[in-house]
Amino acid sequence: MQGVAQETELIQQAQGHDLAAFNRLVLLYQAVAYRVAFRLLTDEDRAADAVQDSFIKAYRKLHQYRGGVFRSWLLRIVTNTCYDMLRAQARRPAVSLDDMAADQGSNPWLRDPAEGVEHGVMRREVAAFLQNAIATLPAEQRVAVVLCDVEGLDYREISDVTGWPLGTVKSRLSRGRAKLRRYIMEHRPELNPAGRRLATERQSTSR
Amino acid sequence: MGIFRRQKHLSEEEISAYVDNALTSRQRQAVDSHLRSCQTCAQKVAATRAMKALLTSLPAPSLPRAFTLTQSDLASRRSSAGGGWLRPLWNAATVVVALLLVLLVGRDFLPLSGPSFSMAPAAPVAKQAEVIATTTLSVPTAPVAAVAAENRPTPLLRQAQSSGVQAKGIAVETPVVTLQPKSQASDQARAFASAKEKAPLPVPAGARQGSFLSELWAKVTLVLMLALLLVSRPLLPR
Repeated sequence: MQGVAQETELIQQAQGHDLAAFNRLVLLYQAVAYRVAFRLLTDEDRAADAVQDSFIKAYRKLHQYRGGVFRSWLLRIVTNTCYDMLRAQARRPAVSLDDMAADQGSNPWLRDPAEGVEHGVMRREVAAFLQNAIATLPAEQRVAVVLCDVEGLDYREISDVTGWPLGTVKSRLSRGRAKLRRYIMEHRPELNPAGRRLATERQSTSR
Repeated sequence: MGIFRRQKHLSEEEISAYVDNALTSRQRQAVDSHLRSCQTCAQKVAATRAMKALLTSLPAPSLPRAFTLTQSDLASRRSSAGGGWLRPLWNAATVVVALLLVLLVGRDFLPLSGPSFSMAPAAPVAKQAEVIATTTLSVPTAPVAAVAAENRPTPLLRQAQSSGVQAKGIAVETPVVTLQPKSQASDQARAFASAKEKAPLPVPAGARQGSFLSELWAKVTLVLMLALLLVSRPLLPR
């Protein structure tokens, strides 16, 4: 594939301290890096800071890159940077979920000009709810769910990004999903018709 | 085949792997057959699948800006990262100053007779202490270090410095107070010790007053240094 060959060439040039070549890699991967950072941190500014930091770290550590999927290598730096920020946040007083929900309401990224106004409002609100639901997960489960369900990575690639063994990936993903499913069922059962049936059946069987 | 045929519900991990198509064909058959007879698990699977679809279709956040790097991004980052060495140095200087202060103030309250303070190693250790103290302090607090240097001739501070260094060696604990045979004490230390012990011989009143004043001056300087170190700490680059 020409794309892969080109990428390899860019990496080699960047390893020789060619900043222009590195910036072409940045342009290729900044979207996925920002998506992951935003999903993990739920804050535009902090996500932007994390991505900026990650690219600087990546440039400095590029000599350590020894082949393999470059996207995984880069996302590893991004998730580690976000981890550090989450840990630092955990030490400071937490922002309440209501504050985050209020912020989300005004987030420009949720507006989709291609959609009709009413549909757009609906999607924005649902997206904000889902993002807040993701933010309730513990950091590891959040990483697993974001990489798998939001970004569509397979288990092997998640394992490459996180450094977790495959079994750990599976168990963290399944626990995160179960928690998220219960959260949605509890707060917005209409979003998940299958879940609503499950909820009503539970109620009827428990009677 | 028999392993997976059971009444027990599917585990979350099985549901998760099933939804991702990550089971072996044999495991998959077993789950399929369980799902045909178990409504609860079937609905959990459906709910997990629907949730995955919802998450996959989350609209991507638009990029706030391009993240391409400039030389100045790399340079500014380097200088701020390079400032990291200042922090431990600051901490060490704070500990040393605090110890000196504790020694100096605590000395007034300790019922010590002169030579019980460890004066023996005064000459060699004091030199070492000066070296350490100046190398520790001179970089971040050049003006303050100059003030400290002014006080250096005071035997008292020298004594405090030497003890401070000893105490630093064994972490922050009570100041080291050791008994030393007088014979081992240096001439200078013995002279000072005896002056302190009896205050008899040819120590003129003016000299004693001078040592009191310099002691006060040392305390004030140390308090100021400590305050400066503590106040400036949050301003250090991370």
